[in-house]
Amino acid sequence: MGRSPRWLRLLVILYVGALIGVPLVFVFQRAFVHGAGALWSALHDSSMDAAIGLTIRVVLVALPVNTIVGVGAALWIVRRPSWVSRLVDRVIDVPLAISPIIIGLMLELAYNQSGWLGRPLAALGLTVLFSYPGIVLACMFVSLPLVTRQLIPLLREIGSHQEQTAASLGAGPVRIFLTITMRSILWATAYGVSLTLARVLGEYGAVLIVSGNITNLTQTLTLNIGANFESYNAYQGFVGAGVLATTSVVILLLLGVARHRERKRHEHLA
Amino acid sequence: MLDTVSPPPSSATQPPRKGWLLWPFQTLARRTSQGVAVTFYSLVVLIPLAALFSSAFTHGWGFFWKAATAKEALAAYRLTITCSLLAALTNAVAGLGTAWVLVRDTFRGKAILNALIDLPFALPTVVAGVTFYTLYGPKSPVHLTLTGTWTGITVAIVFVTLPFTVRSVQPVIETMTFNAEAAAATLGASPWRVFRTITLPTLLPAILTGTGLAFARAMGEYGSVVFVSNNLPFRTEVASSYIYSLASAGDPVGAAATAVTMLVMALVVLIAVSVASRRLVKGS
Amino acid sequence: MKFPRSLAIRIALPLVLATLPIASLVPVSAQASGSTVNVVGYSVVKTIFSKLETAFQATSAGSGVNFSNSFGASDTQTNNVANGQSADLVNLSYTPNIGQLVTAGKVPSDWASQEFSLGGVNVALTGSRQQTTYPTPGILTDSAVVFVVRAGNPLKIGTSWLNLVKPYTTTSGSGKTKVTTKHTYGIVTPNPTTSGSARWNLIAAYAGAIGAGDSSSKAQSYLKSLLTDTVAQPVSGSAALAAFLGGTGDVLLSYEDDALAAVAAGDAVQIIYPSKTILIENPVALTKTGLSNPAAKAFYSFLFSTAGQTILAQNGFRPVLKSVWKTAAGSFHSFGASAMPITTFDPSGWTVLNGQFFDPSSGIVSQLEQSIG
Repeated sequence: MGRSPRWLRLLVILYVGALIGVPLVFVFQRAFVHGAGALWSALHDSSMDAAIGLTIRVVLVALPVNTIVGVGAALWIVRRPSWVSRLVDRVIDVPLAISPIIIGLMLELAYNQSGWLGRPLAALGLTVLFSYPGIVLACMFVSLPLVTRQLIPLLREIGSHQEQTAASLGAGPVRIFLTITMRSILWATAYGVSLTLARVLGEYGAVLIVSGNITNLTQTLTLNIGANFESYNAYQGFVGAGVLATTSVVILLLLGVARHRERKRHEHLA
Repeated sequence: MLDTVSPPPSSATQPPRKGWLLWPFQTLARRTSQGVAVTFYSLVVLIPLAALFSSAFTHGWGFFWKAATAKEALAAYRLTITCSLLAALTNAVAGLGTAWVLVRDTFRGKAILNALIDLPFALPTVVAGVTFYTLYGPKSPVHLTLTGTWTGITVAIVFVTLPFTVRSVQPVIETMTFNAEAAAATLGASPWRVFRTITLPTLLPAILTGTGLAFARAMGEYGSVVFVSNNLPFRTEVASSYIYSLASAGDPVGAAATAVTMLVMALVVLIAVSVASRRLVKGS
Repeated sequence: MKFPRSLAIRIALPLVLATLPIASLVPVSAQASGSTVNVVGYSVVKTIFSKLETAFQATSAGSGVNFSNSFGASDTQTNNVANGQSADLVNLSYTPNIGQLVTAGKVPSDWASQEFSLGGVNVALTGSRQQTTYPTPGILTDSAVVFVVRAGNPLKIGTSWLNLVKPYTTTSGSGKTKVTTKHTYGIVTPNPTTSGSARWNLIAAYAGAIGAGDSSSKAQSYLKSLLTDTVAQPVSGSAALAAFLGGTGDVLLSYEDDALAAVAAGDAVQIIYPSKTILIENPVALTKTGLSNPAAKAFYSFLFSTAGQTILAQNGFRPVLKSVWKTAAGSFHSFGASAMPITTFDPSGWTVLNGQFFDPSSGIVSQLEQSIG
């Protein structure tokens, strides 16, 4: 069978263009509607600055932790099967299927002052809700499976005989991991990390519940956009939206590169 | 998660005789990752999940049932399930078509199209939400006002879930060889018949998986939907928004009860899809 | 085979590594509590508090004081504070919100007397020594429920509550092709589950119907028509204004101060003052933590000072201080006797009205919403 019929191709281009392309362009149009000067000062609005700073600080913790845990969990599930790892494998996708509002509610119930985890933490003087740790926790929850999901099928496919050979030749586990394992999972991991970054940057519902929306303190960029929009500051909201749309486009590029490289590696071996 | 998987060969559980010096380190690595994973997972996922269930049943089964079947809740379920189902089915077809074109064709701008598909994964939901509200709202530049309608909600969900169906079918099409289709064509079968009887059954498990994931995600969608919906209780209030209003207005038990109901529904869908796609794979 | 040393490592290392994620959750160091005031307020006061705080910081009592602000739908904010969000000073939409914080142990039960002990304002004084415009203690600002319509009032919305649910007709075409279509006004009001503004609106609507001569059952069916004609129920008062400004609906039910702010900002809206309305009284209180925060107490006093009340008056909020009201009254619409404090409308005030109307299962509004949906 040859190429698909022309009408189908046109239809698909129209569909994706109208559904996805138009809104994307629209965000940038709205951000620039008052010109570059207004955009510049809007970007330096103090709440916007604080929101961007907070979002960056959240990413700085959530991204590495989820990457390390994600890679470790994937290796553990595939290479060291046990009843625990099989259970984790089954439930690993749970955060992806749960509404972010429910996630926020769950965290609020567990970590509030009378919650199972909140009470002992409060005794230690640590607060999770309505502050930075709660936001980090929420963002980690929603993006937890993303790296692992990419790696599990891959690790299953490539097996572990290369690592075992290296081990029998005397290489240490760290060296094995860095030189052999990493090379084969690198691009899949990069793909998963890009998705994680997108999810952490873009989390709204869970953070809405958990953070208390304290301006300049616990208001992430997504919350900032929502708050501006709700207080007839639509332009400021679109400026923030433009920032996140830009990061999304960058992430799209990262995803494309990772996907391309992974395919190349796969073809190279086949 | 929904793929059929067999456990890897069990060679990994016994210490290799030659590397006995390394074995404690391997055990160490195993135990460490086990410990870290379990602790981390508990703190972040399992304990909050348990707290949700516990809270939902704080006042017993009677209260749970009353809260989960409150009229406003039922209206929210009806709206959410209908719009999510419509959106998932739309995207099942659209996703198949899109994946087909992406794999089979080459044309200028194909790479851009391929990248664009992932945008709903990458774009924050609130950005999509405020954009849709402005684009398809009362002052719409394209003169299309969908706010406050089930249609508007469905369109927002279609946006958010397209990548699920495309990306689940795309890899399967990529690995297809189309030999059977070619043979059938030479025997005189029409393209539609070939597609219906040969191609489609091969793709059906992947379509089913993608649609199931899309549906589960759609049911919980908040940020992209709440602005377009106008949030009218009983009429255009999605389930996640209803749970939010309960949670933020001091009824955490009611919110938890509704949330548990939604989770169970999503779980049933995911299990059903998993079983169905597994059966289809076995049958082919 | 087991090596004793690695056994110890095997146990210790997972514990150490597992605490790393927890260690990353250690909160960023809080600012020195003596010079930070945590303000939690309802959605509509976000802008005015920024002005009040700046003015306070310019005074000697306020120099060097930092503020952390959180604004949102009133009931949401109340619940957050009840659940542990830090708050020194709370300014919420209606008194039951503060009552909820008293029950949660965050606000002392004698909060209303802070107006006297810290603000120096005595609501009990009458006659020539009267200090406040109304005798309700613990109230920072007054306002009223008003209608907000598009500039120029193209749909000719009047001052009657009952007419809001009556259909109006438009004719298009001419001569033989004349087409007359019936429309209903699209009402925008926030969601009463999360928003205090919504509750003020609905009580005012009910009071408006009673005031126009309806019996209580007729007034309830009026409320039902009003809710049926509602086209959007955003989460908070300011979200509702934003939705209206964005083009949703024909008439918005709103706080007068929020409407005045929109007009002052040049938005294409105008205010229609209903013939009868409810006087909105927004309470303010220092929490238990706020009472041990000198900066918070000083800020509270500032809010009730002439300077603070004047800023409020200049921004559309009706001041409670009579001395400031005397000067400011000219810039406000005069309701006379038609703006009823809620206790005039119903002597039990919010204590009974809140449960009667807004209880999630037995409340009048909840049941009406159920019968519509």
